[in-house]
Amino acid sequence: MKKWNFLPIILVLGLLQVTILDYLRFFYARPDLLLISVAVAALVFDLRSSLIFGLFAGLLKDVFSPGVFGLNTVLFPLWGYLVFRLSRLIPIEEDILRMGLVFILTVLHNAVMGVLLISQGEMISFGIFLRIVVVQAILTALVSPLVFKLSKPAYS
Amino acid sequence: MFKLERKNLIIVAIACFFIVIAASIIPALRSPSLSTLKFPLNLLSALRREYGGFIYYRRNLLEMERLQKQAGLLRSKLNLTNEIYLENARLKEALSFKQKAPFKVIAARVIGRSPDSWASIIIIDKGTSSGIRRGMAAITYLGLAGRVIEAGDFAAKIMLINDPNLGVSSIVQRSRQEGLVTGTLGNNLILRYLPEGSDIKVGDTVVTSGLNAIYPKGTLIGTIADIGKEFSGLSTYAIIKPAVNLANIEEVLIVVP
Repeated sequence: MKKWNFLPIILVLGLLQVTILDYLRFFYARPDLLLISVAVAALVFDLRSSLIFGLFAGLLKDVFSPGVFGLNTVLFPLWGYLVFRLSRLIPIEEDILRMGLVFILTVLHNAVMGVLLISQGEMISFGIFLRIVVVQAILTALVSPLVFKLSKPAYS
Repeated sequence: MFKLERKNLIIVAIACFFIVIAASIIPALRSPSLSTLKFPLNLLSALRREYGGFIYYRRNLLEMERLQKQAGLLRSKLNLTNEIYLENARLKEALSFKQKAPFKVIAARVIGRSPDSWASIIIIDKGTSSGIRRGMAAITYLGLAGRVIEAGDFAAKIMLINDPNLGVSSIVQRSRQEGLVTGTLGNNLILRYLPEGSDIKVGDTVVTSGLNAIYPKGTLIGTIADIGKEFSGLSTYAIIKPAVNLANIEEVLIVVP
């Protein structure tokens, strides 16, 4: 039952993302703490739990986001599932591997989000698209060891 | 030879007494006597200070630690006071704008921002219970900020004008040239659909046209920073530097139509 302690951690990370994290903005991009929480859940919990935590994190992000409701709610459990499957194939224990995983996950998520927005008719320049995808992925990867460490009490 | 006899000492003391009396009576003597005494006084006081430093070392150390703590506390208080001062200045300007504005406005504080970088939104601390409805315009005393896209009971979401989803009908104030301002997700805005050869110049002011009843006519959007041609070559666009610093917005005024 200790794993459910991870729910308030996701909630805190979500609140941090819409408030204090704004000060960490760099080139219009900020680290995605909720996406890191999905990676944490998929790496340390079982499949069912990681899907539930992914769903909760996505739901929380959608609450604060404008536009189509449910995009993150669908995508986050999907990322959780993919990370879970990958972690069963390759052991991802080292910090550097986890950072790499978070980087790829963020690039994937932002690429999907960006393409979906552009397909809806939003005019986003290629420069800004690239900047958000790459810079956010770097920032998220850099912050991820801290989130892994902070959420350790919930699963160790 | 001169000997230190009682008689001589009395004579010296009387002489000194007269000199001191003379110095206090004759102002011209005061300054040179003070100047002459300055060096030995300085030396003695320095010696006294150093001596005191050795004697009262522990007391001074404790005192220094206490003062350092106090200084830290005062510095943090000063920072807080500065923050309150800046907030007060901002609120005063907003209040002054609120009183002068020809329309009714509701002041709200920004409590959150968009969780991702694909949208430019802010969350404010007032909602339908304060009279805020979806679609209302959000401004600051500097100019247009955005539009309410969702309103809960006690909070609302505002899409800022640098979000590509938001389009504002606008005109160039000098030439009355119409166009549509949209966001770029970056620092600047873009004024689109300007016919080729439009009368626009760098530095021109862009304001809301009033065609959309949501935005009060003549609300400042920004100034033209650059002009270019669309890829098709059929129309011109202009890059606008927004009047409002959208990255650091802290309070907004919601326009009640």
